[in-house]
Amino acid sequence: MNFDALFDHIGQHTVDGLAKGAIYALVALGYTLVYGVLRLINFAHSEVFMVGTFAVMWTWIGIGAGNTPSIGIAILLLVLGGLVGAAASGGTAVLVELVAYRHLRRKNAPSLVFLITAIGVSLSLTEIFGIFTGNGERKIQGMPTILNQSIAIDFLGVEITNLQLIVLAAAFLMMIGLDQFINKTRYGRGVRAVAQNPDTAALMGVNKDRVIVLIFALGGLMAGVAAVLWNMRYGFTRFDIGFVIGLKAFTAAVLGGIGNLRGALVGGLLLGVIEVYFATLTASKWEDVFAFIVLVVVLMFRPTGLLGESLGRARA
Amino acid sequence: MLLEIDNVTLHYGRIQALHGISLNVNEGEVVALIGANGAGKTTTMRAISGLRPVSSGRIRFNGEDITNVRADLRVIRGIGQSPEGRGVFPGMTVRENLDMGAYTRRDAAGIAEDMERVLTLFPRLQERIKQNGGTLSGGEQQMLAVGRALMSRPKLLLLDEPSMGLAPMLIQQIFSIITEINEQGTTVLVVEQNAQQALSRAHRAYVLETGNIVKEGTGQDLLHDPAVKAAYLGVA
Amino acid sequence: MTANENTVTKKKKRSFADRWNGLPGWSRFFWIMGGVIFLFYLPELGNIPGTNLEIPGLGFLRTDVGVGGSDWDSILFRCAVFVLIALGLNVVVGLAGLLDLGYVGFFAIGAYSVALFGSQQSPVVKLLRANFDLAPDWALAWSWCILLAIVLTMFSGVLLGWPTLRLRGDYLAIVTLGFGEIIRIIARNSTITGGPDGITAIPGPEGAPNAQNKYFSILDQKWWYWLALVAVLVVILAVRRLENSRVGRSWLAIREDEDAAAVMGVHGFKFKLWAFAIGAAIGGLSGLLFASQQAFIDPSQFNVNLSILFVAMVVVGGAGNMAGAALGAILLTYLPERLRSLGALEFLPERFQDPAEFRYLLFGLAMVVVMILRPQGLLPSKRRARELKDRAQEVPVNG
Repeated sequence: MNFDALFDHIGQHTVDGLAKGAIYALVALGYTLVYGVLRLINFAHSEVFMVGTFAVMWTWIGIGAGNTPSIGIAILLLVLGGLVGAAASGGTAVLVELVAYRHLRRKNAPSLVFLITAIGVSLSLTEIFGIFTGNGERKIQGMPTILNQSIAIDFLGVEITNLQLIVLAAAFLMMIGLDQFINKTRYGRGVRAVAQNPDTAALMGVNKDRVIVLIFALGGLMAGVAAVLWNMRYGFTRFDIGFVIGLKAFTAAVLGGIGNLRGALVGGLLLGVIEVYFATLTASKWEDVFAFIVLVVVLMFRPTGLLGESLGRARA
Repeated sequence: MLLEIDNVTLHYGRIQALHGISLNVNEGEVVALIGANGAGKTTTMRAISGLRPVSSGRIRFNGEDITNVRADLRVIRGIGQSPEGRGVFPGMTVRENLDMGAYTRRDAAGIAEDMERVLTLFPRLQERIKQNGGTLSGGEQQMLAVGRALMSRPKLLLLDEPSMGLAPMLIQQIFSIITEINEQGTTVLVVEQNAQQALSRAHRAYVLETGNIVKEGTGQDLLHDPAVKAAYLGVA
Repeated sequence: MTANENTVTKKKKRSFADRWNGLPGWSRFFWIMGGVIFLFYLPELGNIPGTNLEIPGLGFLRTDVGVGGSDWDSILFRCAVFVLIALGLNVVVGLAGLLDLGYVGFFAIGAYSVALFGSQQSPVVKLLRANFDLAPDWALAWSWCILLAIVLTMFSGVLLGWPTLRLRGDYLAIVTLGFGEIIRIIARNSTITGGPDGITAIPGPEGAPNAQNKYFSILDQKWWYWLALVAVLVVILAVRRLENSRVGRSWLAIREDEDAAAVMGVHGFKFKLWAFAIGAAIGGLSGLLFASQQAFIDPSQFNVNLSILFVAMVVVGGAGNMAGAALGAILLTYLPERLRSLGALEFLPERFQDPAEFRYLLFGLAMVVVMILRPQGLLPSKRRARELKDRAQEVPVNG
């Protein structure tokens, strides 16, 4: 345990962790939205994110983006990537709902059947991308670095890079937008109504199917934005990156209280920070194990998470 | 005829809950449906609102066959319901709950007008307007559920056990309001265990026993029917 | 399908089960023995043993007939090991209704038990020799490894189940998924497990792997298949007994309605834990057979996809029904290989002709299609099919 390494730069590690956790938080929103309304863990959500990273990469490569373009073009690529990623991920999520889950709901299938279908969808998507990308060699796919990292803010020895600023700002903006949408608009009220009491929601004239498509689309949209941030930050993707990100994002969702939007944000940021602390203390090769241990501990001692399950808390 | 139920049967899995019931509700009426626990009252309501598919028979509303129409579209056609157990959204404020009642409507002015009307009918809700539905007392939740159903400006208002779990004084109050709503022009179908109140307020009534309609008549007739008296009114 | 056809097929199905149940005991015994003998005969499929004569037609089923086909005995062995896994997982998923996505973890623990304690090359064996003054060629005998594998996997099943079996079903799925991954990461990151290089010289029934071995050599897989087949038959008998015991009935009660079961005095947690431990032990046994036959293992052989493959076998075949689970395992192992040896894959680009390339895609799609069209699986357990049908009638109009 290397405590000196941690405490000498605690501020720096916190910032790094927050930037890391912001991506988890955005992906976690997808789990939380679907779980809040359907009480279903959408195992395929990790692949929704993966599809987004590929779509963004192909867009960047397709329009001939070179390494480290000027700041204006970088922002343009970022926005374009965000739009494409959101569309691709959102579209994938909706497709999964329409092709698979909707049929199962019609038959009132038990949750085991939903889970197995979700796993099947997840495996199929992973494999399709594994087989048909990168000449079938299942390699890491590199892409142009569109942002040259530099230190944007230096505050008392804590260095915040321009990239970290963009990641955090984008995550917060998306989060606020989603929160406002769910809490302030008519459609958002419909979503909450179905989450809290689906039968009564139908008696109010809410079309449940439409609400469900909406939440899949919203979750996918958030994952798409996470995908563009991921690409910018790490500069690669792979057919199977969904698995680890998905497990961590799900952990983040449970940590904050699954079904609770603000919980996803808190859980994601917190997980990012403690993960970085942990990696500094020990060898980073155990990092992926750590998130899982957090998950088990939370589930055992506080299964409703830090902020509680809020979207659907009426349904025990 | 506003609502016409024709020989409807309904199953829960392999258990038959309704054995071919027929009833109708005319425009402007208050109709009561009384019966003991498990007689099929709530099941009948769920069939009318579309929460449960019927196994056979037809349901017509306002001249249109709605047997296979989705529940949310029945609301648009003019059926509003205060469901069994009230179905208040616990994580929404009273105002949001009432807004949910007007979910299918887009006329902001009309909604505001109805909000005004509901809050006048139930001044208690005005006091609690910013509170979460889950924090209300049973009686307040009942008022909220009825008020919310009114917010869709229904042609037919379905009330499922509006007196359940309420103190006698509140029961009186709820039923006076039902009469008031009816006088303002809304047709009401009310399901009740409290037969005394329901029969004395209703124009007509049906008695449901184990999934069959066994009696029908005007509220006053049934109120004085010896069999009904013995079974539901607790007097010999 | 017209209504008429429908009743005809229904009648046929019922009549098969009825006919089977109506057979006298000696006749059923005869049929079962015949089936078992046929299973033992499979390596020679198409030939009459001891002669050079062929039975026309049967040889067509072998995977080694075409160009580029795989060794038939190895495929048989692989089928048998996967059937064993499917039977074990069926106890957990099919009988107790718990979705375990980390089954590969138990498979790996079983494999590593025999590797770490039985192999001359294992760091654990070397450590034990140095610390306990053992002979320089000491290693745990293979038969003891079996016991060790079963004990270790049961123990890890309880260890994983204890904190997690109280969770909702979908949480359990995620936690077990993480468990399987952790086992792999531990195997990869620790030096005591041989790290990413894995372990060689894993013993079999005749000791360390050796081309001179009389039966269990690397060159001839027949005996490995027979060994696995014996294990499968033993497990079938054991699980059958279990299914009809008090434990089996408790699983049924838990699966159908846990709250009602609790009222009847069925302590859900205890029986779930049993299912987990028993399933784990069977998984461990199959892992041991797998490692022994391969004589070499490394962590990359135990990835998450394998867990999902196991689940796919059980649910595609028919969860809750041993015949169904076995059928799923055989189909998903045998079909891709047979297709390849048939040359049926030659229309595909070259790199897709290896079933290993598209096998998982096939499984993923099979899972989705079966769950949507036939959620009870290809060979369902009667009771489970009825449960699903009952639920389907409970759908509200608004879906």
